[in-house]
Amino acid sequence: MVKHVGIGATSAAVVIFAVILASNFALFFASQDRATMYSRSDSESSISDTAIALAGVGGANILVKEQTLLESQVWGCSTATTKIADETGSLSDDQIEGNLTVLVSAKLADGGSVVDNMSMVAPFNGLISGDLGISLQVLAKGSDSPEGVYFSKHEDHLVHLPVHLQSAIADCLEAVETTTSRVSESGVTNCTDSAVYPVMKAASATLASTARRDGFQAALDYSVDRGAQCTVDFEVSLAQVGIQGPSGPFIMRMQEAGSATFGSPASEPQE
Amino acid sequence: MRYLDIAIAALVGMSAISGAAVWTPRSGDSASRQLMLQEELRDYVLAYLQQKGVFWMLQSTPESICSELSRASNASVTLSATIGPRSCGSPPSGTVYVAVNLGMIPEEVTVEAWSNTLE
Repeated sequence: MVKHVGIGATSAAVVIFAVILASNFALFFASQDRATMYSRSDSESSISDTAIALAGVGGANILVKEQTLLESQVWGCSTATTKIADETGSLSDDQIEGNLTVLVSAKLADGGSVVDNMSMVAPFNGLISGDLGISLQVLAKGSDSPEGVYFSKHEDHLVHLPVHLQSAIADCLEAVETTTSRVSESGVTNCTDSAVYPVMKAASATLASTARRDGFQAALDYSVDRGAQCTVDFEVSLAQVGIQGPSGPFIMRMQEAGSATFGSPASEPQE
Repeated sequence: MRYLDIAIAALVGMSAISGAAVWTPRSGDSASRQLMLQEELRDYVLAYLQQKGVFWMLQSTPESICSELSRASNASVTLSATIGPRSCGSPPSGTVYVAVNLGMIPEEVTVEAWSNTLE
């Protein structure tokens, strides 16, 4: 009888501990599954967060490159739009973090005021009417590991720099046109500095007034060519000074040359 | 025979307790919690960058970046950075750590965050 009780007790102990162990295994594997699930979810969230951060940095770098481009040369008023559009179109920035690659490329955007959620590039996010607008194409691709979560995302964002490009071009070209017609229609007959100076001074005053109204600094330089005809060669210079760019204040300069002849057909009747 | 029974029962019991101790569900739970805290910390850093932007770093010295991040730290989260070859100083003690690399022009900035108690 004692022997049977011993076997029974041992069997009961085996069964009880086996149940405890099995329950523990079930909980252990469930927690492992949960950890794997969290890990996968964390990977997704991590890649997505990293892509947002890299896109923001890529956008910021594009704005820095655009500032460097704009301040790198004196732009011709009649060619600035095309040249700046072409050179902006060639700007891009690669951001690589682990297996994730974010490529940001740029092109000029049309005007208007548009809100954009790329807040990492604030205060340059979105479009502001009159400012230089840039459209960013963001392409993010990658994975956390070769067999892990694969991430692919394409986004478009709009950013701007407080550069009044179109306004500067308009003022500059208008000044060239106005100066040309002022000289041609001035009625001046003798090709002396004292005769030319008042005409150019008046043209310069008009340019300065228009430029000041639009927030630019302007200058009108000229020289008189006393050849077969009395010709004035002039150059309109326009600058937007103190632009608060992403890497500090900068200046955008524009210039356009013109030429006008005294005693042109328009002014002949007065002679 | 009785001693044999006791020995077998004791062996089974000890094996079961050892197994339960080794394959404890707590290990999976603490790994999940660690990942969850890392995710929260990364969200914290990203939210900070989105709220503050990145251009202030371009126009600041490494010292002022470090003091700004120090000001943005609180009791549960410590923010720091490595700007190019310079670091804000020795890292604080923290069980959870994340780093967000910003490949900025002209210098790469890595914003780091530590937390002990982030919930």
